[in-house]
Amino acid sequence: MMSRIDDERYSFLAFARNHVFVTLFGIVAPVLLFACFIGYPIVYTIYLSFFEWNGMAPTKTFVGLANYSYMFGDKYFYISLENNLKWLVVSLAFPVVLGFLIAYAMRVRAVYFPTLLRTAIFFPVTMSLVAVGLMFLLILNPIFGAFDTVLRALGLGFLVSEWFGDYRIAIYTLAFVGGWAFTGLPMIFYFAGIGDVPKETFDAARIEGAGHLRMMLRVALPQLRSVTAVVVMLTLFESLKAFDLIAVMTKGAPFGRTNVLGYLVYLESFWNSRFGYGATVSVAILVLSIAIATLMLGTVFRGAFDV
Amino acid sequence: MGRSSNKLTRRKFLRTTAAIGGGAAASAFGLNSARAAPIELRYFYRAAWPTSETYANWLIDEWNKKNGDRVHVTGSSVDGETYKTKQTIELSSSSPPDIFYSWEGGRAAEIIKAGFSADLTPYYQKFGWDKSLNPASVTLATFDGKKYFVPTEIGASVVWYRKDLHDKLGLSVPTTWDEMMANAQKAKAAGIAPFMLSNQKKWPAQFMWSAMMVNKYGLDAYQGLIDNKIPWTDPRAVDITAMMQKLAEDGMFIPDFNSIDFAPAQVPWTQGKALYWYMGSFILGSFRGDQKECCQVPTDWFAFPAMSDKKPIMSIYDEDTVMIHAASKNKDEAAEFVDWMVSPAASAKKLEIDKPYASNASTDLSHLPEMEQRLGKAMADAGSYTFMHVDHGTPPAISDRFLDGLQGVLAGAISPQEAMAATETEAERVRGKIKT
Repeated sequence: MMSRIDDERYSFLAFARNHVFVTLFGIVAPVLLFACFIGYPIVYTIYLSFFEWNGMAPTKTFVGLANYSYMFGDKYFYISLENNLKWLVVSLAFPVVLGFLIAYAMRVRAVYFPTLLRTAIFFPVTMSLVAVGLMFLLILNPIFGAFDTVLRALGLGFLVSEWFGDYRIAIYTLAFVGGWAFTGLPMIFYFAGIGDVPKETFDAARIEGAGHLRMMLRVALPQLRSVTAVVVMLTLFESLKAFDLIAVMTKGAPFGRTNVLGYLVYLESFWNSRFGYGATVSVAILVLSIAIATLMLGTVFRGAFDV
Repeated sequence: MGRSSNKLTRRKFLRTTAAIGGGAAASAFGLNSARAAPIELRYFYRAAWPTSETYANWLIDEWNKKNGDRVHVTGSSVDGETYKTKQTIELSSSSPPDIFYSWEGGRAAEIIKAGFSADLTPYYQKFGWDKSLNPASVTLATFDGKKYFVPTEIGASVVWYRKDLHDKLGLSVPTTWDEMMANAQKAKAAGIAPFMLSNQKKWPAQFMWSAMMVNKYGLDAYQGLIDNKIPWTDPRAVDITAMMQKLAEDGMFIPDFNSIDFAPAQVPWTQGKALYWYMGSFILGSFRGDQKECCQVPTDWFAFPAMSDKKPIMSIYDEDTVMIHAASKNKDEAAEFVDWMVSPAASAKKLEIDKPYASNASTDLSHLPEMEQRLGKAMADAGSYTFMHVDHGTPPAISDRFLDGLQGVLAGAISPQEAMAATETEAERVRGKIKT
């Protein structure tokens, strides 16, 4: 009697025999590409994390778990991790919420020129973060920056701060700049998502006397669970791989208080020539990404992708 | 009737074909030997300023015009920020550059230790570089008695000052630390920031720190820190950090100094908002601006003043240096190109296109403004007793923690002891504990 596993194996082989083209280009080729360009680098990074290597010497020194042991006692690692979490919170609170609000406002025609607004808000998504960083370096410059000048002109001079120099706010400044560039993406997702919510649902809520706030929270949001799940996942990964803005705008300054894990990997690998430790921090990012994504999909967004 | 003599037989055909083929091969060989393909050299350099790129292109073009049929050079550059990242990859590749830019000090030591840099001592003798180049710059190229790089551009750190402000406030050029501080107080009272500091990217504050350390406690103490013989938690290092903290607390630096980057700092400097700026001579490029000659505002310099009864020491360092890759198959030709780079002709052009100062001690400075000539002469006369700033002297991992710590102290976020302890922790990780 054929077991279930044998039966499935047989099924796949039968499928492959009957669909050679699909098997080759739809399964084998993508798996090979994934294995070469994603799988191998991941495996090699994990392998490298057990070594000490300056990136130049022909040989690497096996150090076992020493890099991991160092990482758990490294103050810079914890500062970077904390900054990534701050970045995530700001990104969830600012571009995601704002993106949703703008999308809703456009759908209910509460704003003028919605197409123009949509284009304007989505435009920064298409910009390189390096360009965005350089632009905001000028805008927030304490000597001639436009932002401080506008604040002073509006009588809000007391709000003027050292946006990059004050270690207490520098990471939030960066996260807000990142948020500015990212807002268009959640907006466009929510805009499409709200369009799929049956109009009758909104009409019924309106007849029942619901205002915009209630319609947003009680009608739109519950039906946009899968969209929110996608947006939150994207935000999570964007936050964990934050690098460009730090590299362009602060390089971790002031005194390492704007380091994030992605920049720490670069700093340790290429600047401090410690590729083994850089790989260890990369593994930490990988584990964190998987852990947070699994946690979210298993709790808050459980079943969000079920069809 | 016999066969005609001009009839094409198989033998004749083969003979003729062989003759034609042989002749063609012989002529081709002769042609090749007469016009042998030139030796190809690759020069990988760091173009930190737009003028650096212009000058490098000029260097390569001029060389190729004169020697291209024998030794042809191809350049490839990376901007200043990303050079270090690319350098590791380039040097470890299977086809590394023959000649490449390298920093002095800690980074150079890493490159040498990794075996990428050829020993250039024989070329120093062959081309007489140890006599023609600035003595301090040659000292910095020496590691364990061997010379591993050739400095092409040198720099010195001095106190730049606004001449017009000095005159307006009736100040005289200080020769001691106390005189400089007295001037600083007068400037502060007049609403002018005594010192410019553009510390957003954290490296500028170390200039003043190392000058204070050397001039208060002597070169041996400072060099002990750099050479890993004295721990960073040494009371002298902590004291200098505390002095820097006091300067910041007393409002001696321009406001928001931890938010101002090097280039934007030119704006308040030009506007006359600061009196002094302790910085490297590479700043002359910025002082010039779009003008052909320095400076956009009346500027002069003086050496960092004495802080003790010892004669003050000027920091002279190798701003640009080149190494020859140990794996290069054409080291002799590469050395010829390097000799062209430090020749009087190329050095004179460097002053014209790029920025001061060329490492060749005999470079003609006569067309530079008097102030720049004076600095060039001071550098030539300084001898070989000098020091590098921390980020040049130590490996990047140590200097990075040091710079972070110093920035934290100036921001009032951590204490001098904490800053030096963090630096020492990192130094121990790199070089181990110092045996006492």
